[in-house]
Amino acid sequence: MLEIKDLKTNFNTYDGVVKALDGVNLKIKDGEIFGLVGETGSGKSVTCYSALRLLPKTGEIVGGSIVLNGEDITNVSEKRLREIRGGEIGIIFQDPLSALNPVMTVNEQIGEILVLHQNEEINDLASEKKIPAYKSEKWKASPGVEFTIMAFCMSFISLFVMLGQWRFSLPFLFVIVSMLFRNYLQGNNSASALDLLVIDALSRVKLPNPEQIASSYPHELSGGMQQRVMIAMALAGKAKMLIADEPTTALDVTIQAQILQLIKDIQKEENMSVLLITHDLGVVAETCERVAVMYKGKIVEEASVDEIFTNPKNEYTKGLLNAIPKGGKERLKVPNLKEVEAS
Amino acid sequence: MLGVTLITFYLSYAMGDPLAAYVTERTTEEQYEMLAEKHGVNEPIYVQYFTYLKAVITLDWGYSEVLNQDVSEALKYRFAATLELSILAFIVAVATAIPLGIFSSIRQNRWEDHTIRFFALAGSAIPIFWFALFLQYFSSVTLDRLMPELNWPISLRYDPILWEITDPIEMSTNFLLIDAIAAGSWIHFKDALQHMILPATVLAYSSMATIIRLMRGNMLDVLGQDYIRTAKSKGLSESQVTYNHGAPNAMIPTVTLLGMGFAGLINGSVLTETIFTWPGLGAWAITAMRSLDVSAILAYTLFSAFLYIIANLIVDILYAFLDPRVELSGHSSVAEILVVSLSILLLILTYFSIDLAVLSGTATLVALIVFSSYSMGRRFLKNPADTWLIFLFGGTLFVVWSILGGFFIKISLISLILYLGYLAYYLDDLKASLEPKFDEFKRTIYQIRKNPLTLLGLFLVLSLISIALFAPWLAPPSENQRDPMKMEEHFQFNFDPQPPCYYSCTADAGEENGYILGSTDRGYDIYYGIIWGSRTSLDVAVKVVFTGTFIAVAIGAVSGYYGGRVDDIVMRITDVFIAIPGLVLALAIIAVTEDSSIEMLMYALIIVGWPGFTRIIRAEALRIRKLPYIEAAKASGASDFRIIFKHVIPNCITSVIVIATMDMGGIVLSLAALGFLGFGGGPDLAEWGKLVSFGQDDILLGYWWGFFFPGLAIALWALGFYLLGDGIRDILDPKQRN
Repeated sequence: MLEIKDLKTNFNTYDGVVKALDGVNLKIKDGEIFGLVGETGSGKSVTCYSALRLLPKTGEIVGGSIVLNGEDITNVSEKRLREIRGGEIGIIFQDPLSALNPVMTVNEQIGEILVLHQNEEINDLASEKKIPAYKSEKWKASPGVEFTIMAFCMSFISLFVMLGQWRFSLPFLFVIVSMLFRNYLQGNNSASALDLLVIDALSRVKLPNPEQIASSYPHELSGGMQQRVMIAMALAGKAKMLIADEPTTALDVTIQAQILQLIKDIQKEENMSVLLITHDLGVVAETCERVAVMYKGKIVEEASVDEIFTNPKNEYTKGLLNAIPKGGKERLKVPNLKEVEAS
Repeated sequence: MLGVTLITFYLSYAMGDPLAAYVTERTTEEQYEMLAEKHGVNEPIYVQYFTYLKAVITLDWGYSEVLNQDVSEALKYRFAATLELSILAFIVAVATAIPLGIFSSIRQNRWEDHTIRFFALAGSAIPIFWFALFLQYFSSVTLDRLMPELNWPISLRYDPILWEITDPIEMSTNFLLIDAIAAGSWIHFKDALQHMILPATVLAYSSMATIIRLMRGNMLDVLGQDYIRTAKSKGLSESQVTYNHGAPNAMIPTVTLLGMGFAGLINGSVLTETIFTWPGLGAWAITAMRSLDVSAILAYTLFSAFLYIIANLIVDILYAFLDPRVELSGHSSVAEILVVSLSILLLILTYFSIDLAVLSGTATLVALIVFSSYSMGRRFLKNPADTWLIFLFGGTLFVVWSILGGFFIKISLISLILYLGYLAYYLDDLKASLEPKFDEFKRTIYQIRKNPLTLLGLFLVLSLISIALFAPWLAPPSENQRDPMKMEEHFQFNFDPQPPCYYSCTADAGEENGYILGSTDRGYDIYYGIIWGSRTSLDVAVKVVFTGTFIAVAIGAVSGYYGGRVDDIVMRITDVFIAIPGLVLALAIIAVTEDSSIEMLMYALIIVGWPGFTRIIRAEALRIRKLPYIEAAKASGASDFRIIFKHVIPNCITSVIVIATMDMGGIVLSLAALGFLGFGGGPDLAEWGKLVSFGQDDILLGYWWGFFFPGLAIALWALGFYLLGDGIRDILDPKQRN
């Protein structure tokens, strides 16, 4: 499914170049849950951002290649990349509240990705059920944008009127009038195909009462619900692969278990590949089939979950496993990083 | 909650105002007798206040002697004129500034960004009156030469011949554009618009500058948020991400400041209207101020406060509309409800019976004073550690007094020497602690070198300050001059302004043999004025900014940190000051004291400037108060005193430095505006704004140098400090480092 070969990513900072990824090799097969573990700053998140080219401006991929289903996507065009983002690879982030846009409803945010990647389905459903494909919301930009458009039209009208060419101001006048009377012009406020698909996407992540959730804003939902909305959004484009960047870190333990179970269930139903990034070895043991351990921008060990836990080969992995708190009176063993590096 | 604060504020505002107006009256003898009878000045002051309150409620706003008209009548017409102009300017400003700000943020640190930022900073640095004069000169002289048939209007609202004699139409709304449309007359519409364009451009440019900078900053903040990354990961294109996800979020904080922006427009209209002889409120206020027309001044201040309230109301509604997280029906505390119901009760009482209102008002006031002194006293008794607050304010007062008294320099020099001695004693410790600071310093230098605009600002500031320092060498005063700060007049009736001779002047500093940058019609040498004027500017700016900073940091930090009742009171007080346009307030202070010496200007600028400054510091302190490390400090048992000095103030210091730097420019702009209006510390003191006003008279004759060069000096000064302040903010903000 996704193969990362010798990926190198640098960050250009004032203090010089930071090599965040220093030759990462990964191979995620179809329909498996692959875990990527490592300590903070080891380059887990950078790996997944590099794969989708979502790096901040200072980051830069300097070497290696990313292959998705046999297609090298390291240097593909911006247009193809946008098809891949959301359409073929979905991604969920750590903190769902800050990852959801606070001024858009859930409906709008999920609808956006459906319009981008599931346009045919929307139209099919619309013609099948004989309902409009989009509701009037499609023509409704966010309030700020509408305000700007209005102000612009007004100033253009006054400009042309001032110049004595009032005919040129007619199109702007038309825009303003149609914006004002938009709702009356469009009429028909029954549920559109897009709405139905959004509700469908929300019920797939087992959210109760999806109609109500669709019309609410992110801050009105609880943390677990927000993360479910995030997952629904990542899956709405019918992506065959899901990258989950520490999806449970910001949640409390019971919700964590629910979200992980949800990811597992969906993965089974749809036979997806999942790249699960975490620093929690417990999460890995519970969900993953294969695991890679990252340290200082490199993969130090890659094996099946059983093997990692029973027979770790690398010194760092051993140290990591020893650092798991155990019951009883045994002292906590923290890996000695100097020894690890020497080996 | 909104209505609550507004009404209390309105009341407290009205309370302060009539007193000032009556004090004005005391200054002129012959009017005094007449007005004393009319207004009942002989009555105790609080009775006057209630009489006044009743007059306001019943819309009896007095009679303006300047206009020979009832104030309410005049207001109707003039308000329409100002509002029409401001609304047009506001629409133009918002519609251009927001897209520009967004564009600048996407192209961060590229040449497009630098150009837009420069454009924006220039907008706030260029004095309004200079820009207006420039446009006037351009359209009346240059454009007239190129296209004489155009005959572009540069003053008044409409062509009186057309509107009053040849083809009069009904002016029912007093909004000329609407009236023209109602009458269906294209010629009238075109004429009114033509008259509006120049003043509207002037007004729009200055407020546009602020909006661009705000929008850019907010966009940069928003574009770094997580949800932008989410939007990108959905497969949205760059422009979709920016306009659908970035812009709406960035609009929210921008809109909250648009209300202030509109109030600023009303403020700016004072100067614009004066120059373009636009018959609006601003021009009227200036005329009233010059002739001490009480009713008019009163009505104007009341009215602009009213406008400020309305603008804030609209912004609050818009805010709730833009941000789903905010709901209009906010919570309001019991105390606020109490205050408002009391004020409404008082208003109703005033309407029916003044005596009763006076009685109950006095009773309330006494009760309030007793209650607050009781609670304060209890607080200090219960918590003796809090007594330092008194010392803080005392110390601030001392510092402010020393700055104004002129011996601040001595005190600071002595403490500097003491500090140096202390450092020398602990030299080793100093070296050790400087190690990381040196790294920081290198980083700063690197950042400055990377940012060409900051470099330019630094260069401008340094060169202007050195001009001020080396003034005696650059423009040596002649032997018979008593005070080098005073310009020499040419004692000759009907002296023609002399054109600049630049390098070909024969004498050193001008005089009879030629003027390097020309002269005014009274023979003032503009070159000399500019060089020595920089001393005036530096002197005033430094003193005002230092004093303002001390007051603001002391009051702002305490009120922000404690919050609650202290904060409420401080905020209401600043509200009162901010609601009155700064320029008008300064003029009123000067008019009341009848003293336009440079010291009085300084006091006026401090009084006008501190509320805005305090508010920023207070907001900063409020933000810091909620941060986890303050909780941690509290948990580890630190006293309030320690927290404020060790945590709150050092963390505010970034914004203090930035605002102080910016204000060094802003104060000079206000000083120049006052000078331009004729309050420039005596007729012959070297002051830039006054030189511009001298140049204004000859503008239509084509004598451009009179207003151009002094205005340029003001603009460069303000631009230098603004650029530097902006650059410092970028450097000191840890978020911008990468």
